[in-house]
Parts: sequence; C-alpha cells; structure tokens
Amino acid sequence: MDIHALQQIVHQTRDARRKQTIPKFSPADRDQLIHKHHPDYRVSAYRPIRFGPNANDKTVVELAALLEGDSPIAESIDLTPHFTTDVLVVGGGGAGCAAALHAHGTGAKVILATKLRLGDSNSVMAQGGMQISVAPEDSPVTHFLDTLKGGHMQNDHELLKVMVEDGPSIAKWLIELGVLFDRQADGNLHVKKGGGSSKPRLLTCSDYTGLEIMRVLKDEVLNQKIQLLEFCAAVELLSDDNGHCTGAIFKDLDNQRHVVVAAKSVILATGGIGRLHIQEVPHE
Amino acid sequence: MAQEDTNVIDQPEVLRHKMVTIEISGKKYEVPEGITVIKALWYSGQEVVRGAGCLGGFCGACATYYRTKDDPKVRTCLACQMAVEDGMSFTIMPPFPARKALYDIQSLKDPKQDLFNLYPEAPLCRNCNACTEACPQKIDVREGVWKAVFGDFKSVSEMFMDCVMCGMCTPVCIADIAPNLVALYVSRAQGAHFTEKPQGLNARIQEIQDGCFNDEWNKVLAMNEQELADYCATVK
Repeated sequence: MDIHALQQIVHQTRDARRKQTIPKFSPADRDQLIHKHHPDYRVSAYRPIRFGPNANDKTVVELAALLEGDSPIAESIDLTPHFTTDVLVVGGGGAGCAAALHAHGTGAKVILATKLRLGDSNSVMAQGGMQISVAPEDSPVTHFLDTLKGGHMQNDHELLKVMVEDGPSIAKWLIELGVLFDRQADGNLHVKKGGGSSKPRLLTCSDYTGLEIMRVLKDEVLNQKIQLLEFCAAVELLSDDNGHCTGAIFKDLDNQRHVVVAAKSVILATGGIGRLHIQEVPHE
Repeated sequence: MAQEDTNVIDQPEVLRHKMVTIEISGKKYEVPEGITVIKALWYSGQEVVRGAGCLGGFCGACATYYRTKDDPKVRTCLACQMAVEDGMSFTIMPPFPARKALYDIQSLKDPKQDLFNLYPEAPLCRNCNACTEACPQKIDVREGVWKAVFGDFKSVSEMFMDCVMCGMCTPVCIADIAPNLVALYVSRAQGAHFTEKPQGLNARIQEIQDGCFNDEWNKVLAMNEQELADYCATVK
C-alpha cells in the first residue's frame, strides 16, 4: 500500500482512537512484557569482558568487543607530540565546553578536541531543560534525593552532591555569559516540573534549552581563543609508567593523519555510548 | 498542510518499497522514497564527515541546498529534517568562511554601540531579503538585522531563539553580513546586560555558601543504603 494511503487511514481513524480507552496493565503484567521484549533484558545482550582491569565484569557485547579490540595505532607510531598543553578536553558538547572554559579561566593552556565541529553534540539537542534547584520550595538535598531515585540508588554520592550544589552557580555563570533562561514576571528564573522530580526544577530557554546553552558556550570558547581540534576523533589515550594519563592520539577525519597531544591533565567529556546503538536500538 | 503530508520522514522499513531517483551533487542515485536527505547520502554510499551532526535538527551541520523536480527555485533545508522525493536534487552546503567578531561579553560597556565596532557591516543591509528566504528555520532574518541595528536587542533575541547557526543566511548576503553571528552577539548581550538578575538564584547560592543545608546533608549522608532508599521513597 502506498504510504500516503496509509496516512489517510491514520487520519480517518484518529477520532475513533481518541475516544478509545486502553486498560492499564498490572505491574506484574507490565514487568513480564518488558522482560520479554525490552532489549535490556535479553540474556544474549551481555557477556563478561575477557581481560583487562574489568575482566569478568559483565557488559553489553558491543562494548565488550570494543574494549577487547586491537588498538588502531601501530607500535611504530612516532609519539612526538604535535601539541603540548596543560589541559586536554576530549569532547565538544556542554561538558567539554564548560570544562575548557573553566580551565582556561584559571589561566591553564587548554586544547579542546572533538570528532565533529565544536558543539555538534547531544547537549545541543537536549531541549527539555536543565535541572537546578533554584525554587524557594526546592533544595539541593531534595534534588539529590530525586536524582538518587532516578539513578536506582546507584549514583556516586560525593559526585552527586557536587552536582546539585554547584548547579545554582552554574546557572549564574550561564546567565552572565548571556544564556536567556525563561523568567517569571518578577525576574526570577521560571522552573518547570520535570519527570521524576518532586519539585519544579527545570530551567528552560523556550523549547530550545540545549540549543541556546550551546550557542552561547560555543561562542564563548571561540571568543576565548581556546585551541580547537575539530573533526579529530580520539583513538587512544596515552599513559606513563605509573598509569597516569598523559595525553591522547587523535585521528584527523579530514586527512586521516594522527595527531598526538601531550597534556598534564586530560578531561574526558565525551558523553555516553548511544551511537553504538546497543542491541541495534534505536534502529537506524 | 499539503507540504506537511508529502514530507514523510523516517517511515518504518516495511513501508519503504518505492524507490525514487534523486541527484546528489549532480549525480543520479536510486533511494527509497521518504528517507531523509542525510540518510539518502548514507544509502548511496557517500562518506559524510562534514555535514552530519546531531541528526535532530538543532546543530545546523547539515545545511543543504535542494531543488524539487522541474522547479527552478533552489531552497534550503537541514538534511536530517527533509524527506527525499522523486526528482529532487541537492548538495550539502560547504562551510562558509564568515568572520566572527571576538569579544568579551561581560566587559562590554555599551553593547548596542559596540555592535557597530564588532560588526561594522551590519548597518549596510540593502534590504534584498535573501537571508530571510535562505533561512530553513523560517526566521525573518532581514527584519532581525534591522532590529539589531536599531537597538531592539530584545526582539532579536526572541526572533533568533530558533536559529540553529547553520549559516545559510551568510553566503547570500550582498553586504557581507553574517546575520546569524550578529544575532548571536545581540542575544548574548541581551542576556548578559539587558535582562534582570534573578534575585532568587543569588539567594540560593548564598544559602549553599552559608551552609544552610548542612543539617539536612548530615542526616542524609549518614544513612545506610536501606535507610536512604526508604527516605527517598518518602520524597514525593
């Protein structure tokens, strides 16, 4: 059947479907369905890692295969650095830009490397809002507890406390850089209720929160003349005899050459592994 | 509405039975009807290094020129947001060497006047409206440039909230203005200089610095796993 004819069926049945009420599943039925169909519950999705620091830990097969894979770098590579810096930031999204700007602000020499252009990231498409406890009825402790619940109690407490306590100062920093958060009539920050939070806590910029924040952060990274390595994908981390990270090797996607960066500190701000499409989800 | 009905994006695999002929950078390829322009590039085996970013219509990396069958009008789109149709011809826009002014947003003394030092070409707009026609986000770009020049920074910041910085307004400008960069400066200046400071936020920062939540923290952080889980369950 032609796709437009199928669309017509959707249009024609819309009113009838609107009136339909679909009975809710019991929690037991729901769990059974999820266990049967959700890719997270496939036994074949996981296997133990064969060697290395995480040997015998179970993870998704795609990640295990990558971790056990051969290095794309030949033994004979010349490790003379092309660039030397105080701080190397790997990743050009919200975390990478914020890390680079803060390090630069303290006087460190910073290089930011990203596999695409600066700001081509998940942050730029995260429009729903940013959780920060700014409302009078809210508090960093409540934010902490809500996040623990959302994280199935697995979060690192110390790290989480830093995040919820630094949040308001980060909001102030972004406002001073020119981010246009939505406001109440009295000039205070407007907060929206978000999923899983007990208090309204979402700071928003219209329905373009991530885009607005990234426009500003990218512009600021450029204004501060922070050195960029764009279209450079990190392919290996470097370490010294004590196991301390001393830099990284990148592959320049424009000319296929390797770029070696030596750094006193390396910040990994690469985000998650969504693009590995674990268990082919989401399906391309 | 007719426009929306024909832009059939990302239909499930089973529905992609009809193939269409399209032209990528002047060369013909057969691809399934209704896939996005960026997927058509992948489908036909092109290596896309520049030209793909967030794939969600926000990063502006996939700015594309396209033309539909027998229509002389060359239009613009984001390749991740446009479905291909038979007879479509397209090319990804190369990065355009626009000049971005450098500034320290916080130390500006008179941002509305500084606009003319940072972007002296901004008031030279000749009203051709090409920028507005080139905008895939349907922003009235020309109007925005004029409002910026006349100091209506608030309106500009609102108009350009939809701007994905694809830069398609820039190559068409006969006055060498980069409207998206002008608007970005104006929006940042609006936020940093002409927007009220939120008192509640400053109060919260002060509370944290003064340790107002310490008692609560001590209570929560002293809990064992079970106590913490039980306590979390009471937070509603």
